[in-house]
Amino acid sequence: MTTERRSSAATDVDLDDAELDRQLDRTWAGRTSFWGAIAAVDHKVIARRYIVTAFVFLILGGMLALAMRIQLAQPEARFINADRYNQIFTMHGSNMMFLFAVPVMEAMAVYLVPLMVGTRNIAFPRLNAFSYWVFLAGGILLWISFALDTAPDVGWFAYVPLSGPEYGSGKRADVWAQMITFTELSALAVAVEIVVTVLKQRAPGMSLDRIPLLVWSMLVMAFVVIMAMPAIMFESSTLIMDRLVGTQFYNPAEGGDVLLWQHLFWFFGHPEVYIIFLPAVGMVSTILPTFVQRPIFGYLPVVMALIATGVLAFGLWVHHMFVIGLPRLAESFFTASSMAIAIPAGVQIFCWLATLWAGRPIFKTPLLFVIGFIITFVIGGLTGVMVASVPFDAQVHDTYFVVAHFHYVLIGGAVFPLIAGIYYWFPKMTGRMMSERLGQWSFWLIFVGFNLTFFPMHILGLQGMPRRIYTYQPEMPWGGLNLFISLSAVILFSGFLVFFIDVARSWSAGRPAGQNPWNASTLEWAMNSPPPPYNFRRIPVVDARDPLWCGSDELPVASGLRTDRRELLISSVVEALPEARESSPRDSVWPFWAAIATSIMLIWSIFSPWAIVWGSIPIAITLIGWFWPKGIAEDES
Amino acid sequence: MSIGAARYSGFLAPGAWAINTQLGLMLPYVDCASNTGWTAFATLAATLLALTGVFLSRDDGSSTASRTKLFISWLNVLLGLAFVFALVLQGAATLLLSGCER
Repeated sequence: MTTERRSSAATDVDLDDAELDRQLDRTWAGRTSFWGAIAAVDHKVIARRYIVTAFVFLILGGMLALAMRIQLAQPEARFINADRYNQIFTMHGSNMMFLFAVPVMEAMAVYLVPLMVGTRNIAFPRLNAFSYWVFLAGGILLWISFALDTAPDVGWFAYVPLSGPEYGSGKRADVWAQMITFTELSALAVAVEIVVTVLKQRAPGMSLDRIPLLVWSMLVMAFVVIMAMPAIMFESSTLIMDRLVGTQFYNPAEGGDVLLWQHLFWFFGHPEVYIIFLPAVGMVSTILPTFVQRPIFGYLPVVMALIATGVLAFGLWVHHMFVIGLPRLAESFFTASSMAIAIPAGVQIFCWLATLWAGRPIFKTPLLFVIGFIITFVIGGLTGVMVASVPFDAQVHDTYFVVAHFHYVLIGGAVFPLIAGIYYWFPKMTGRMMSERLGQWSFWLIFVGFNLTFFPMHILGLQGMPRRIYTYQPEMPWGGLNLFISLSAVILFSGFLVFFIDVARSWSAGRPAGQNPWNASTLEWAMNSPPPPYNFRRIPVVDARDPLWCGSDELPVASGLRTDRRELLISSVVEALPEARESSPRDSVWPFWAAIATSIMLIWSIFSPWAIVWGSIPIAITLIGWFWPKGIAEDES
Repeated sequence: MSIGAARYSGFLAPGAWAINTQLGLMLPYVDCASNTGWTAFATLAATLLALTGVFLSRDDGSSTASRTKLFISWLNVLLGLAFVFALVLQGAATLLLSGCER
């Protein structure tokens, strides 16, 4: 019966474009009801939700930053008290790292990777939907705790013993720990999807040496997530156990080790920087060639740099711990690796400069943000080499010098390319162009505001101003610079305001974008904007690194996929040779219910260890519903 | 050498660096207590292992190799050199410090 059904199955062979579009739309389009939206598993829909939610968290985190700047604008200010300030800087760091930076980068991957590798949906699309709901629940947990004055107040790193049962009273540290569990669970799920999509769902012909650089960067980022995140999930779980069950992982009096916390945290925490930075490298390496209209200079060295950075990222963590008393020789090993990672970073920058040099730059908004990125990231990289040196780091440790350094690296190294990416891919995502005039305003306000805000923090740090203080005495020589920084932050804030106004305005009333408004070379521009639910009418066959710049008007395509069920082409890892046809799951509300059950269990476990036992039952039920065969065509293997 | 073998030779240099970095956290205590040079020895061995990985990868990039195989081969060579550089820097540290400095 199965054979008979297969032989009579509808495929895309011998169908004209209009009929094929109609059949694919019927199979791949989601329902337009409320529950249809909840059940959606289209990678583009999930990614848009991720991106919008992450930017909401960016706005909220930015508000906290402004509040801190108001407090620090003058000595002995009384705008925020010490306890609230502790919550605010903890919220700011945790929010920006766990609720904005990592999710938004993964969301860009969720949207772009399937389009760029030429497939119809991401691998494990229901897991993708689940990951979004879990991420949302983690964010809501953190912000509700802030509204209730029970937000974490132990820094984004939550060092023990401050966050342990001895000193961290109430539930503040528990909220931090469970927010971590939520967001890292979500991040790990997305990372697995990206790895499988890139390795097994590439279009025929897209061998390893033809993978777009953005996809390479997302692949490396996903591996780094898979290697790094378990360390902090272990930490958050053991912290909860120390606080709730009475285990002694971090209590030296009972054989535990407080330094274990720091090792585990920074084994995750330093790669975290590269989890954010590597996608940015991919974005820059994709945007730059388009705006000079020539292929990237040094594809191979850039791929090498991406992989080398991803691996070296795991050998730098001790440079966050240079003042804990390790042997100098051990510290020097980490100085060595911290210096060595400047090599792949330098290779990337020289490749970008060579690409710019050899092409004809078109100074549109995305390219401006890319150039702004190169400038700020080089400054951040230079101070990074400085703080990798043990004697220098011992002097500036926990001062505003470090605050300046990591904002140069994180905002310069990730937010600038991200905004470039939003300007660049917004036409693809929405079908509408953003305003070039507002884009230029936004760039200059952000670029000038950023440098005026954060560069003086280097000087403040060298003058000895410590991090995480809620106020300072008038006798200290920091007042003038702090006022200047706070005023500059308003310029930076106004730049982001212009950007968000541009997004809102363009989404509803922007100029229609068309299929490929930038004359770009990668596959996501080979379809309508926004893309249809099935992405590609027929799966493209790739015969070059820049498939849309090969001179031909039409891409070669593969045919033979079924149109009556959601079906993907599976290909080999190295050469991307077609291997099999595989079904892709249909929409389902079960990931949503599984996320709700998971959220109940995780939040409940803040208060009772029995939540793990009883909370597992609803999770098991939702998972059974998730995987239970539904008697549809996609159930066939 | 097959594509698979070339791919695995590429793991030698990062693997040697990762192990040596971990040893760098452990062996200085031994060197200081026993007045030995295990950290320097381990770094030298790791550097040689990494260089072996580079040469194996390079050997695989013959002119008759396929385009993808050449890509993997040269990728491994460049990657290996990056880790050799990191190991050389770590080796320099072992020449300057005894393991007892705090």
